[in-house]
Amino acid sequence: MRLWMLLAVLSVTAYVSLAEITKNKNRGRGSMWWGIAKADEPNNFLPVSPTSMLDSSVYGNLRRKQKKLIRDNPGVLQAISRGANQAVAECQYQFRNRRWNCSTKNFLRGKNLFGKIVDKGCRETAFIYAITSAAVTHSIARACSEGSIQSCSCDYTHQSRTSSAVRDWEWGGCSDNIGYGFTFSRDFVDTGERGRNLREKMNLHNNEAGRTGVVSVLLQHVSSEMRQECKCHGMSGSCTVKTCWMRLPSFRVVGDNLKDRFDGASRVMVSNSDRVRSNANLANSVHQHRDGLSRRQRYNLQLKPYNPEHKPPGPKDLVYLEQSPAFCEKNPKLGILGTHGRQCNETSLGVDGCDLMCCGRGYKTQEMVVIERCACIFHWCCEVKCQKCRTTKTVHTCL
Amino acid sequence: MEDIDATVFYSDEDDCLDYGCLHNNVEYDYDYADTEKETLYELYQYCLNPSLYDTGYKLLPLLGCTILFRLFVHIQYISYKIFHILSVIIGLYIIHHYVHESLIVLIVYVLFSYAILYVPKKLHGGIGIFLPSLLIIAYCEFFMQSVIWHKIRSVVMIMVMKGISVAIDRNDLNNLPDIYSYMGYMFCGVTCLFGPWVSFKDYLLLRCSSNIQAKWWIICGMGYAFLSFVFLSISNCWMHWIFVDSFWKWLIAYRDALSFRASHYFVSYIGSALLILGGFPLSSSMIVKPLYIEFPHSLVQVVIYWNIPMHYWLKTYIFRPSMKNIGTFGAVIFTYLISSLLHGLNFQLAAVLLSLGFYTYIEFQLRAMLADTFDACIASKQCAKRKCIHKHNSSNCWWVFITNLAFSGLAMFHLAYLGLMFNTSDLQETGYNYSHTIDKWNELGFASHWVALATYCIYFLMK
Repeated sequence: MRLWMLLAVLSVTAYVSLAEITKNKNRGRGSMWWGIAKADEPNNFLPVSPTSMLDSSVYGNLRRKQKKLIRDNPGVLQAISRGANQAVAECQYQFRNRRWNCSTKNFLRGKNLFGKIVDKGCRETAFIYAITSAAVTHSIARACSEGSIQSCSCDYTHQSRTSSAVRDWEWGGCSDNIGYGFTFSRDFVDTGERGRNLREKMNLHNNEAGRTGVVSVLLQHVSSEMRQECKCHGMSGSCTVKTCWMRLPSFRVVGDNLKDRFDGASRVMVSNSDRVRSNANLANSVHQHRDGLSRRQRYNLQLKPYNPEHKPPGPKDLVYLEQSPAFCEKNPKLGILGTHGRQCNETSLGVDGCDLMCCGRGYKTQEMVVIERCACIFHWCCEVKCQKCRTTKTVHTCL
Repeated sequence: MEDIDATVFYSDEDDCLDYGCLHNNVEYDYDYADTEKETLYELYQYCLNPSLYDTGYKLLPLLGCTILFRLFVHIQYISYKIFHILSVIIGLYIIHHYVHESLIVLIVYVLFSYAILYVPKKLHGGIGIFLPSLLIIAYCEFFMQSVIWHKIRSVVMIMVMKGISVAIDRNDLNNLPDIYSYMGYMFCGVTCLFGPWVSFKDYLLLRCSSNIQAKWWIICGMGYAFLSFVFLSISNCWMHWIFVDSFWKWLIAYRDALSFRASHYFVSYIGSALLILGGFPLSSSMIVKPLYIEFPHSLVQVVIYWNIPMHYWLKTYIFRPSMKNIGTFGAVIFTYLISSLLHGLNFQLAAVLLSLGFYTYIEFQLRAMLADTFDACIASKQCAKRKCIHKHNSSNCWWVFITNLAFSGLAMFHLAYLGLMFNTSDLQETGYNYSHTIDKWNELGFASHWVALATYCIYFLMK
């Protein structure tokens, strides 16, 4: 009898959360945490609670599990915040020459950092999900090896791994804790996504693709000699003793990687079998309503290509559901700023060229005074001081 | 980073056509470049820590063997014969541990060169003492894999220098060393790996010395070891951290050359530390003087203080004997030729050494002439403090000081040019080839060679 009562309660909550999802259907709930990117900025407009560095609006938007993760792992918040900022910077770098330039100017009180474009399941959204998830993995893995998170430490498992090319040298230091970063990112980033509708599946898939990209880059960095540098020491330039060290791989590698995936992203649609299965799930198990798909199902998504002649997307590929808008005109509904007033390159034939960037509207050319850093001098030790120079530049801007 | 949306939260309706918005976009472009530089912590974690820890760990057996050797030196119960046998065993172990590829070659060389000592001088006319050395270098150069040869080159070089020095000394004194002491000297574990060359006499005196320096040796040894690790970190990490790849090409050349020199200081100071820990006297432990090389008075000074024992060896066994026969200029060039032969038949080293030979000769002649003409202390060799024979010197005449400073600058420029190709490219393990050298110099337009030529022209016109 009690069991039945419990089930009834559960099914009611499940129904409620289902309603919540349909309300928020276009997006999924997994994007709220992005607001953490703004967490460490001094903010005069909103009251900052003295105990936490997060302002309440951002913190309030986190899910319960995410709050618990932050509370249980001191130091993790800073890492996530660093990761989120890294993701924003990298996204803006990768898209600096495109019509959509990953602007965060639509940021509103902790909600939808990248604007309403996220409501559409297009390529750009896929990239945002992948890069944010990748950045969290990366920065958590690094924070572990730096010792700034209490619940994890260095990864020593790579120590014994030697490739045949480096016979007598072993990596003796502390490696980034890739495993922890990966699991944590899954727990934290994917909390909001239950994988029940297609949009949530898309988000899950892209999150996972971002993480996989990071892991392959980091693993490559640890185990192959690509990122390893060595130097010979010996009398008059001979090679009696060889010492090796690591060159830090930057997040740029991950960004480039994901940008390539963005260009080759595959459009997917709901497969029939999938729809049947999720209906069956709905009918059969109440428990699964709560958690969405079980972990194995969650990351084993069978997404069908939109064009049946294409291959189904692999685990590293980005997927999207609908065509991207043109991004030419301002569209407040989608949070698109349009390309009015954007700079363009007069000579380029690519997307950054004035023809494509301005969508054929034409452009104006003007002389502008730009303040640049110049005459940078290295001061011992260790900072670079620059002067500010005013230079005149010819700037083309879209009408 | 802080510029991204730092001021206000734009609403959806906010217009972005004004100057401020555009201006923000302009600034973004300059922010990306900053994200690449490694922080100090990352430098420590990825470069300093692994290279220092790794090198220290690698050198531990060598250190242990050196301490053991010192023990044998001091224990009086060990007879003469046994001591040399123990020295050979330690040396063989070290060679086997670090450069096992060279073990057979070296044993054959030592036995062969000892046999040659017994051949009377009449039969080979003095050239024969060089024969085993020439043969071993030729064999290694032509029949050995370049990676291995490049690895064992310094070991072979030290051995060859020792062999030649014993053979020439024996020519003068006509008393043969016995096989035990000869083998012990050749395989002496303290010097066989990183050098330096020590004379046979110094080696034999080890057991007779009364060790007045006993109190300070350990502090000196540790000090040298510490310095060597400082230079290792400079060579591996600091240089690449301070001078980023995007700097001006001459700065990059200076960085690569400095990195190479720091690597040389590292090896030399390790050698010094081992000499002291192995029981050699403090006076003979000085191998290199970095300050005289980094801020050189002249190129001649650089050559002298680059490797003091090797300089002594070249002067005593090559330069002075040959000067009687072929004159000063010939002797200088012959000495540099022998030196590059000792370094293996490597184009890059030969080019560097021969260039250095010409440069030093030109510089020496020009400055000697200037010093004579103006009666000032601007010769290649610094005047001794008290007994300067010239009227003008740096302390009483500002133009002497300026001239010396200019020549120092010239020497530093030449050093950057000559040392830049010992970089961390793939070639460092196999030895640098002809095209690498020419490419690197071509990038800088052979500037230093032109400058040297100009200097020579000045000298020629003034003569």
